[in-house]
Amino acid sequence: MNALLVAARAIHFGATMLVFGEIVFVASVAGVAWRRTAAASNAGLDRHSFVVCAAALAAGALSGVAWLLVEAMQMAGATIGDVIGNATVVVVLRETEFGHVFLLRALLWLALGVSLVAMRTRAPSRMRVCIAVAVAAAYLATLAGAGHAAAANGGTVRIVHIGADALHLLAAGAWLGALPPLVWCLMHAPSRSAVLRLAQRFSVLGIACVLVLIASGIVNSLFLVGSFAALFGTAYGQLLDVKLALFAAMLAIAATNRFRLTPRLASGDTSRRSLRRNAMLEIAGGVGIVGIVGALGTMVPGAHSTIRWPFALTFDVEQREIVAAFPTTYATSPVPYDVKAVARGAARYASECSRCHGVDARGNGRAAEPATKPADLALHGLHHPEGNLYWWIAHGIAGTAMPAFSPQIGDTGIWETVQYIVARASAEAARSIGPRVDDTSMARAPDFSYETQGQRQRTLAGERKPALIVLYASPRSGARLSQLASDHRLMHADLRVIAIPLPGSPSDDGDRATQTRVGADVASVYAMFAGTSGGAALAHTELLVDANGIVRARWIGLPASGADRDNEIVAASQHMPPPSRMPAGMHHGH
Amino acid sequence: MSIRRIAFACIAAVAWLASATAAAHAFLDHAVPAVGSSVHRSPQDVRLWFTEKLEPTFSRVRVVDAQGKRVDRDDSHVDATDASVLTASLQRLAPGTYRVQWRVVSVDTHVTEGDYTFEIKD
Repeated sequence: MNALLVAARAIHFGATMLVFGEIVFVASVAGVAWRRTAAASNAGLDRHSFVVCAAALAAGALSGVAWLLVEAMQMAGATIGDVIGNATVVVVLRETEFGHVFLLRALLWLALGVSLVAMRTRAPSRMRVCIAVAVAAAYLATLAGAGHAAAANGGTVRIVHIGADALHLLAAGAWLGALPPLVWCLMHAPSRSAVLRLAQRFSVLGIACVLVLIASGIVNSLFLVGSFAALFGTAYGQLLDVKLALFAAMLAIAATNRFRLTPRLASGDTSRRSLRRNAMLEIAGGVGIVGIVGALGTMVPGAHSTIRWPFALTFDVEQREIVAAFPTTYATSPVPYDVKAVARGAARYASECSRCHGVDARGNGRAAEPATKPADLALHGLHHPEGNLYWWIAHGIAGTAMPAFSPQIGDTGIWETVQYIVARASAEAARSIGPRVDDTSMARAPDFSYETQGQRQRTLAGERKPALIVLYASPRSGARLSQLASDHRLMHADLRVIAIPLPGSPSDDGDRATQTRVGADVASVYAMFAGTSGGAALAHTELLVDANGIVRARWIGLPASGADRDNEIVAASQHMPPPSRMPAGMHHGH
Repeated sequence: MSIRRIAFACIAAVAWLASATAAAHAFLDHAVPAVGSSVHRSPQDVRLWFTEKLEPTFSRVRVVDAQGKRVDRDDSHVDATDASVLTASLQRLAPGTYRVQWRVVSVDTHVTEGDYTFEIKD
């Protein structure tokens, strides 16, 4: 089924590009370079291009219908009998974006057929050629509306992505689709001078296409591949690498044509044969590329799949040096960064890791031998990719006392331990954050759900809005909680206030004042983020968390009498530009 | 315009594009009741936020109890104001564990599905 979808897409893309390229070739290259010198062969070229276009349109229609039927089967999870018998295909055409694009393209297909027949049966005029080029361009460019680009969120982003995709299709079509008529002309050229003019003219078209292909290809990759790591570490990226290699080979051939063969054309016929052979090679490369395009559109783009890094080394952008890398270096945790995972990770840490790394993860465990010096995880936890932390826990570190915990701890257990280390290191990083908004903060607040009186449950991270987290100690925080609950400035600033009891404080105080309610695991995890007053006692602490879940400002203790802390909080919450660098492991959420 | 300025503009443009939300295939971003969470009152509905816009006709969510019995009101639909939100209203739920099962089609035709549980506490 998937093979059928890939084949249908590939044939459809190839046929659509071929029609456009044929028409562009006849209109631009042949119009100038061919007709003047080879009037006798005009009829031959016209017949050739009409036959190719007609065949391509037929192939485009058949593959298009096959594509539609397979998509309808997948969308509805139905058999081919259901899709046709129960008119699911009509529902798809009427109610989905893919269906709407399909209908629009069916109309363009008809218009293209009519305009080709008109070109063939009446005297060719500039007007008719222009119309045919425009309709063929629309028929090709609208393919961008049926792919990954169409699903992009957001107005400008979607327009940029679809625009880049459409330009990419047009440039590829103008180049690849023009190769078959070029071969025909090279075979039927009456004179060397005709071949020379043809080659010169074609290389102008080719260079323009290549420039557009590179620029629009880079834009498309930024959206769909997202990173260099994904370009090499995902199936989507690796298939794209093959496509890029084919493209590079075709460029090398095109460059040979342009800079070596064309200048030699005047001197002999060998160049002419080489040109033809090279054009055939380019066609072969183009067929490969179109086949890959057929598959890429059905795959999960690299930006969204788990990256498995294939090399032992990588380039650290921040340190600007080459460092060791593991298969999971760029992997993102399948376990969400929330208090449940952190709490389970903390329990695992206490039983397996604290002996050496220390109860508070400062690398000072009792069992650690003086010579080994276990890592201070609280200090270093945020400075390594979470994928590396995973790898070291799972497979140990050679040459050190760090043992491998896989397979006795499963995948999920290891990721939970990683999430605990990230939380522990975040709490440590938060210690240096004061009431001023910190633009370099890497301290991540673990996600959790909470309930507010009379409203549906909410989560810290899901809302993509800032929040003030108040870690309170009863009964001293009572007055402050009431003050927060009644301050309308916070409400007007759209700032959520979430009260979390410190260990030993009854949970209903926060309930009563701010009407929020959180689970016991939230309280135990967030105790790490509380400041201390004097000795070791945990103090009332307020954390300002931005829309990305990063702790940006922190107040310790209760406000001094007469001080207007809420004013400070509101001002800070209104001015939190995204931090200068995203902490490791942050990615657009899902 | 100096070369440096042009280079800066190019880098800024690339950074802007790279930071834009890429899409294709709708994945669950977050949900309410949240994945694996506990709720103290019976919620009126489930709401699921996806990473891209959905095809309303082919996107469904249902909720079952521990015995596999449907407890949603069979009115699963894509939100009228936000095409990336799928919702269904719920019957009154007794304390217990419930499973949310979803199958969605994104506007670029890709099918994704998944499930998660939440718990109603006394």
